[in-house]
Amino acid sequence: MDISKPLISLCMIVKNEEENIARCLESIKSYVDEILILDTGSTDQTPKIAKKLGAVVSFGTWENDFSRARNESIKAAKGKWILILDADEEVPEETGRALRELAEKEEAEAYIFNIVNYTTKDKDCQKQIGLNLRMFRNNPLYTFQGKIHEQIKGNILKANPGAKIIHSGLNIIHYGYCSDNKKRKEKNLRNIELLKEALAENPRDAFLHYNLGVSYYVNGRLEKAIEHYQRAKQLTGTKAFFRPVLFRNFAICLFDLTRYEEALNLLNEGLSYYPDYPDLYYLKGQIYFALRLVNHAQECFENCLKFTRVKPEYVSTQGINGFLSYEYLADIYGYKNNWPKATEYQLLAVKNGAKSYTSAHRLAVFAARSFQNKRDLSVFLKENLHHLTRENKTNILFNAGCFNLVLEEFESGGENNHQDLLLAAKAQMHFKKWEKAQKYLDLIPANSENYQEAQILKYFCLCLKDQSSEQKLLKPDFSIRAVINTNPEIIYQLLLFDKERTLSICKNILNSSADLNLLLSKLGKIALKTGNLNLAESLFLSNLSSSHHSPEIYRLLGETYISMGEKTEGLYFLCQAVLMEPNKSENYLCLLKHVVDYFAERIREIFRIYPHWGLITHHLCALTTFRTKLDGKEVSS
Amino acid sequence: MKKKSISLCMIAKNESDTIGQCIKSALPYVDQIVVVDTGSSDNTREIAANLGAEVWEFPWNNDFSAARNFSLEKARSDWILFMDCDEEIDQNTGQLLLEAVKSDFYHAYYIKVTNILADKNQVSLYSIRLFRNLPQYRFRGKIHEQIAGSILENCGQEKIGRINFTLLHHGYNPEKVNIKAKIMRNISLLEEERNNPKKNDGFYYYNLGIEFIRQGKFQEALEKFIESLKLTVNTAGYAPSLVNKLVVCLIELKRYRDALEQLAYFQEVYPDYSDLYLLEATCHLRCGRFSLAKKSIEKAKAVGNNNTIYPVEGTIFGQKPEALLETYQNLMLADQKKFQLSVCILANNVENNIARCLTSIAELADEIILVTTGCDDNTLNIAYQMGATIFRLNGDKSLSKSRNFACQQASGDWILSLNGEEEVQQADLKTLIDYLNRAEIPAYKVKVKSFFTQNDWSLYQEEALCKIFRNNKAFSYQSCISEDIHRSIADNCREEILGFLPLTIFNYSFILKPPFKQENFKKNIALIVQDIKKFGKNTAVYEALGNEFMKINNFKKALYYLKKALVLSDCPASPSLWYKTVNCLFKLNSFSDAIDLVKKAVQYYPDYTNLFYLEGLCYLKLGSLEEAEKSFTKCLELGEANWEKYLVQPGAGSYLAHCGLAETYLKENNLQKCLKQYQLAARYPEGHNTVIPLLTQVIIENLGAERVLDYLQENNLASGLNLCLASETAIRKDCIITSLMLLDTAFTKIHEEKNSGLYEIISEKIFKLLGRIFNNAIKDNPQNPELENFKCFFKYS
Repeated sequence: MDISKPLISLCMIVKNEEENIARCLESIKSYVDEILILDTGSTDQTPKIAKKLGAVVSFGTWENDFSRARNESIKAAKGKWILILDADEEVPEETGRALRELAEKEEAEAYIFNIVNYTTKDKDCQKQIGLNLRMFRNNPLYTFQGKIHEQIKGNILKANPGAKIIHSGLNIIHYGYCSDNKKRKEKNLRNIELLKEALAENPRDAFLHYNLGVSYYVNGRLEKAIEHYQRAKQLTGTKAFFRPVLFRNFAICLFDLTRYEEALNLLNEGLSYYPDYPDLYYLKGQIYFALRLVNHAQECFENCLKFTRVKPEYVSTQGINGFLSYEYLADIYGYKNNWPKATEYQLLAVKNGAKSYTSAHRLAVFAARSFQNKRDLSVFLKENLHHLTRENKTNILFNAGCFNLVLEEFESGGENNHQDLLLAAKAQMHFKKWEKAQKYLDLIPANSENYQEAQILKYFCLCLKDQSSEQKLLKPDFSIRAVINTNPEIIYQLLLFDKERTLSICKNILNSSADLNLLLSKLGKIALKTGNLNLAESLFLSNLSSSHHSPEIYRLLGETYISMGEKTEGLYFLCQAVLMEPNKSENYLCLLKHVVDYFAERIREIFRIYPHWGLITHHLCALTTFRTKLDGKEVSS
Repeated sequence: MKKKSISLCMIAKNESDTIGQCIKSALPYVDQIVVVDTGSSDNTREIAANLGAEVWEFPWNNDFSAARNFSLEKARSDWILFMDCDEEIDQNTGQLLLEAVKSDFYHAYYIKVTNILADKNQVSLYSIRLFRNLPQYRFRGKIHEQIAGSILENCGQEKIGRINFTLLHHGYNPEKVNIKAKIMRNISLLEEERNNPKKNDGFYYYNLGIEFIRQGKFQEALEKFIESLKLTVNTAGYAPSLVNKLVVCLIELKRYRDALEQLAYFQEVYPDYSDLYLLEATCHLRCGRFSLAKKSIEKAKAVGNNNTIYPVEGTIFGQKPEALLETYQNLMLADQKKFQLSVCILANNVENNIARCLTSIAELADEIILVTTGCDDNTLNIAYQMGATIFRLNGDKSLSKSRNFACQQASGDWILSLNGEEEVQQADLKTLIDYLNRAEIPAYKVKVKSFFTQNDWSLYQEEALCKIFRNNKAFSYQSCISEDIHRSIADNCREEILGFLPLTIFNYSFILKPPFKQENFKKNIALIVQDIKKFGKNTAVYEALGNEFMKINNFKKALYYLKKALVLSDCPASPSLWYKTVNCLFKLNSFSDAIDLVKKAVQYYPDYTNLFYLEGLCYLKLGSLEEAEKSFTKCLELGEANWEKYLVQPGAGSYLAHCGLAETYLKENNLQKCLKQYQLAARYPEGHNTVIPLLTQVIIENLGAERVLDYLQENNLASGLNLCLASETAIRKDCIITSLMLLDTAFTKIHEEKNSGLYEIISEKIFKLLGRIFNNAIKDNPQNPELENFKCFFKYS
């Protein structure tokens, strides 16, 4: 490195970044020739850490103006080029290595980078990519402007109208948008204040309105966000660089507020300008899926997949032209009961970046419905779950019913914890290998959090192994009532192994019929939730036959029948529940929910015949909005 | 004669390049120059002031109209000439301006605005820019010609002249003006200026307009197309398409007359562009001029599609012209008539009805004369655009004055007299022609069907009114409120001159929302007072008073006046007067008195079914079931009353009488006989709105809700509409499952009956059902916060 003639100066402004500054500087320090940091009032260790890592730190005061600070920070730079980074960013190695090459290109005046925003800490999860000018020749005329969201491009072009600004195609990683970041909240509030001030001076500045909309959205104040997006849209000319992303973010906000019809209109308008912006199709697909207009949704997601490359000027969620759309398509095929296709698309999603546990779980669920026999299923899952941790993998295999694979995994050696033991015991129970199960359960010590469950399983193993032993055994040394109250899922698992025997054992343990009824209704609820409808029906019915007519059971039975497709029957039971217990609003809400579903389905049929009839879309959107609110999914603002 | 003075008014913002030339061109003609500056940062103000203008400042608030109107406020002369800063007066035509303002007759003029383009291809538009300086003439909305509305409303269209006085518009000629500043004001965006200095051509605006069309925003689209036209030469590749789309916007905005005017101009520019004739046909079709539409379509065919430079669609808003010709074939009747028809319409604030009225008769009308005594809504604009000639009478709102004035303007052989809230049944137009082609008498009564509510079209009354008569200056209306031309016809002619013409006119004027009802009541009472002054207190004015009080449901007062009318009347009193009086007594629960009055009336009018029906209802209320049965049976024997003789409310001789019998039998606890009567009643489809809800209720209460659907199906009554009617009753009785099943079945009827309109009715019931469930939930769980959350969703219920 030739110190006398530095090539690249890194210039940063920071304030209270002790958590981030080291990561940032470590990633870049070997690729730049000097590091200049302007501290605008840290009260923590930031300056100290920075100095230690080789930075020259100067101090300034914060005057509510990003451009002023930035311009201050680049003043002392000696390099031919200036690189701008924020403390919550990180430079990947390949980017760092390429910088020098960029700096040696004669024709370039400035470079644009991809800013990859992580929205959660998990690196495999959603990313959003934006563009930003971050490296430019050191020229006193090249200064920043704009109090917030400072820009330099304008002044470069003003000073040098022919300047070549090149898109480098290189990434910078930005962690600031992780929602679990506490500092982010503070920054967000500060930005809102700044933007409000700036708007007071320039009330017709569309870009400020847009940014305030984004800030309010991040802050969770969606109604406010809508207000400013709306204003920004009114004030923006058709060619403004942020107009595409305005449509995208505006639509996301409307979607979150369940204002489907408005969102749909907005997206259609957006697509008339930007027919090559996949995010807009994706959002449209999401709305159609919420409306259960699955063919329309499918078309949208298939459209997303056609874009092998997204234009760099569009801000886009990573995976929108890949695994995210694949997952929706899998859902759509699932909705149509086409499980082989659903499996195929979920597999595509998993292979193209959907690496999370949930995605793998979905794959297993779809595959379990798609394959005729357990062996094919086992082969399929064995091939496609390599990317998971062992614990996640066995969980998924167990839930999919591939018990032999669970045992295979368990016996393959390696560390087995209590959770693994429990799972293996349950798998053995499924094969009615009571002794083996017992053996595993015995290995779980009394101080383990799995101990209680192990004890129950053990007790049931004994009873189920030998019918006669039931009477011989002493009462168990745990309170079965407590188990029923806290962990009915355990009993439910046993129910799946041997329904009649399990129930009779429970009956023997419990002495009051009230307790038994409580158990039955809890088990029924689990069965209903997990889609085991025939079981749910029989549990609720035995509950009804054995006890007084409880309105809750009527309601649950109603929901069960509706899930089974017996809609009229189901609604009849829901009406009964309302009549028996009108003072419980839950009954009414449940009835309303299913009446809405009932008619929404009929309206969709009409929609298929008259897809361009605005009134139908309007009704469907209204019903879906109401339905979503009933489900409590709305984001409170 | 004193010389008339002219004020030039203009608004300006950063117009220093052009304003000087503009003012200089006007100096020889005008007496005052008003410039309203909306925030210039250049020396616009100084230039204007140095040329003698009065310069005012007006903060820009995004509203062109406000700024323009501000400039009008400052004018002191007799006339106002309104110009844009980038226009100048064509000196060759200046004398025409001075001539025009001498007129005592005209209040405003269309003048010519010619757009000067770079290569000398010119496009001209006519626009109202010259008008008298009166406070009521003001701009509305965003574009120039929208001062027309206020001028039309205040003086009528015949006061608007047309002169060839010409303004030359340099608008966007790049040689002359600073384009950037202009665009900035229109698009108000810095980004635009920075990034796209070259986008400011006509094609750019054309594309913007296309985007707006795609979004259904036709006003915005039109504005863009007008901008585009200013920048476009006739020979530009997209110019024909631009013209086409501009006219499409005008049509979508229902500005048919403007569209036709543009078409007339551009048909000369592009004589072989066949789609322009199809657009012309569209205008005619939408206005109900079917024969003219046919001629336009034939012209389009004659022109053919030989010139490949035109983007020919060959359809009329997506429909094949041939198919349209076939659809409307039976309505193309103008050629068959051997008489000239003047349609005289009285209309005040009927913007929701006037288009329906005009389209219903335009085919046969040789002229449409519309007289208003005061309108502050869009009625006159709509009528003007649809081809009506508009006259305004100030002050006196009396019906006779306005009607007689309208008749005086008429030049046809026959006059058809309508209200803006009326509509001629097009199916009867052929009959009208047949009658009038061989008419020997001077006037006809026609059947006027007046509806009471928008929710149920089966509730109406029918009466015979004299609406068609020969154009004879001796015929005139007398009363300030009643249509009584038949009196003067009788006075002027021999006996037996009034014929009956089976033409039905629908009248919607009774359908009024409450605030208007009260307003209308006051207005009518004032007119009746005028009648009293004119004719004294006679039976006619008392009956009219009774009518008005009945309309606002004040039956006590109504009865008071109707009784007075009965006392003063010749013997026998008119059947309608008897009927109304009995009806009032019934409404006031004076059943015995009502029955007594019926007994008297039927001595004179033994075939007036409606009287017997009311009698039956009274007996039913009094519990005299045998008597009730007799009355209703009598109704059925008589059948419906004759509209030529009586004021008729339908059903009394058919389904209503059956329903009366059904109710009678139900009170006798004879369910079988009751249901039988409902089945008989249901044989009249026009009575289903009344019968089905009653029947449903009886089934629910006596057979159980679960029987409703089966019963309707077994008796062939399960049409989509009936299922909806039954479901509404079920909803009201809280039979959720039943209403669900009924609506479910109704959905399948949308396909079976191929009736997509049914969906609107079904969806209305669905939301009613949801609202009902929710209201019950609230009732059973008052102040439940969980439920409160959903109140916004049910705000309409």
